[in-house]
Amino acid sequence: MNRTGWFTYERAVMLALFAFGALVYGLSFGIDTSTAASTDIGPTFVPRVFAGLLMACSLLAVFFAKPVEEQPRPFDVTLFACVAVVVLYALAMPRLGYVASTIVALALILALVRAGAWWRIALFALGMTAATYFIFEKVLTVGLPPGPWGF
Amino acid sequence: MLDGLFAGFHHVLTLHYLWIILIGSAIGIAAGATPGMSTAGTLAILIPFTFTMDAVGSLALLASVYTGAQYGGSISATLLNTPGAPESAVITFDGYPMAQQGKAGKALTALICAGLVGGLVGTIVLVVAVVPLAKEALRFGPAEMFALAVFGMTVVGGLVQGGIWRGLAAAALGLLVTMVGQDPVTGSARFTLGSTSLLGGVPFVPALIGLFALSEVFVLITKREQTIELRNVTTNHEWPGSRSELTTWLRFMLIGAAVGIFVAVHPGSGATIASLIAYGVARQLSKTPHLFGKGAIEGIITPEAADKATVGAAMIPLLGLGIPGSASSAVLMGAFTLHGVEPGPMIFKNHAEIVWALFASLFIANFVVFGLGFGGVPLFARVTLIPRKYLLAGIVALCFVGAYANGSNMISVWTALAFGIVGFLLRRGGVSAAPIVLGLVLGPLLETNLRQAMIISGGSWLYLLQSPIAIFLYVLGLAAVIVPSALGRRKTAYPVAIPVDPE
Repeated sequence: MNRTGWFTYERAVMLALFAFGALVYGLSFGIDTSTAASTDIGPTFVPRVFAGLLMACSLLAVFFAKPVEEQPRPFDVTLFACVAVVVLYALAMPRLGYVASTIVALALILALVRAGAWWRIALFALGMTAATYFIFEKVLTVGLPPGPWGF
Repeated sequence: MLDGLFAGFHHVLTLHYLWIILIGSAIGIAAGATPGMSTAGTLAILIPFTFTMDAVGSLALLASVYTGAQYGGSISATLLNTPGAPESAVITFDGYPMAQQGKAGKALTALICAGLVGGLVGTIVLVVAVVPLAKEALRFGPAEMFALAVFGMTVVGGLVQGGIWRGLAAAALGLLVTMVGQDPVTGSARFTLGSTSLLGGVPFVPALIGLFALSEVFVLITKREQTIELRNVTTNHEWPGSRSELTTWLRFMLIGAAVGIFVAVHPGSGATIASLIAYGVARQLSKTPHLFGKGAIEGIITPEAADKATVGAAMIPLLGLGIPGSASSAVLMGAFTLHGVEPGPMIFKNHAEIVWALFASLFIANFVVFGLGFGGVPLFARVTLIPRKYLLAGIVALCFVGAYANGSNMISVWTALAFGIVGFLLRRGGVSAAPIVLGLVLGPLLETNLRQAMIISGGSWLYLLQSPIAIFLYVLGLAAVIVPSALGRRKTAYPVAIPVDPE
């Protein structure tokens, strides 16, 4: 995004927050208020105050906030690809189970960020998955999602 | 008070808890020394590991990780010019020049001693101050509690990088997220989008994991740097050469501890600001200010003591008022609530034995970190050799398994993922995660007390302004907004803003 123009990334973020506040304010009209007592301010009042606060502060930040001192690097393909892998990982976990989905997700992320030789990537993905599975499933007895193979 | 503390030590001084504190301190030092692993992020990742522990064991582990991480960040700052966490950034100013001059041993000895003194002073102040504060806070009614929450928000907003409005917008976003779920008075569903899974609200721990840990993964992906070469590592501890040098060390340690405590008792301020202010104060008070930036020992002792003092001091508002003093203590608050312990004025009435055991754990953790730091510097420094690419993949797995373990359902995983992506996008836009977490913590408190106040007063808003304590808190909140912007206009010698990635 152009850093020298008025429409910077920081301003875009604040405008997005403003839009989110407006959306929540609008959604608050759909809340059931019929059960509220006459002495209470009701279930919609506080959300509307918070939404109003978000809209007001983000709008003021658009005009008065100072620019970020250290500018982040621009988005790149690797980042988008890694985010996509993480989303797919969440989709796959209940279907393939924790072990299979974690091994594949970690290997894909490491391959995307060019973490080195394939055997290193495979070793790390297997080792990390085995370690977390052992600690959570066996030691802490947290039932992790089982796949078609039972783990 | 002493009886309670003795009881706390009696509770914790068993092999089981000492083992937990030792492991926690070692994990903390290692994580703190690893660039990219923030203290709050480390704590958020570790919370799921405490699910099956009892409350004392869980809090002892997290308190020792917190204490260890604060020290670990300074190791990599001194040896590698790479702070493990933002609060250690100031240590690079003089620590790294000392290492380059062949004085790494002296710098590390000074740091570990300053850490012990700062940590102990901060914990002593916590023990002495929190009980009277909690007793005073018991007198708070809805108007005072509402004012307290407003004060907490303005303090955080006033200190965020980029100005008050960006900070308040972030806090308001956190507040708004807490509106999801059943209305606490009428039971009406709010913003659940028809999902019964969201009736209980947005899960807090997965949100923390996403905001602090998963967003860190995306930040690490955008960074190209790999590991840093380990050099100038020395294990030769070097003590003060003369009595006057020892006096100087002690003087600046106590100054640093005082600054750290003063800053950290204000909700939302945290260790980064404390260490930066302590550095500025040390330069003002030093007899050799011209050496600052070139390897001045006061330049590392003072901020290190301030940094460690914030661990205990940040728990004063957390335990006494139920308001976290820093991002890390906000995560600790999540751990408290997870074990059915609600921080705030009633904590000494309902869970005194747990709180005293926590205080005892903090005392012990300070000595354990001192011992580990003294002997294990070369080992811990090697943690920084872990390639970032493997580190980020490991964090992804820990985030997913940790979030899942929180509720044993995929809603928790999706919450962590959503907060991770949103947190990353906001961080790029200069919005820190700390005010969002404060909003998540304060949302229910603000709503409950506002509605109680309205019911008591029959709908009169003036009720919120009738209490002197509430007015005092509003004035303090207003000052918190005005003072940082006034300091900013005067271009102070040291920054007074929370960076985007605090603690």
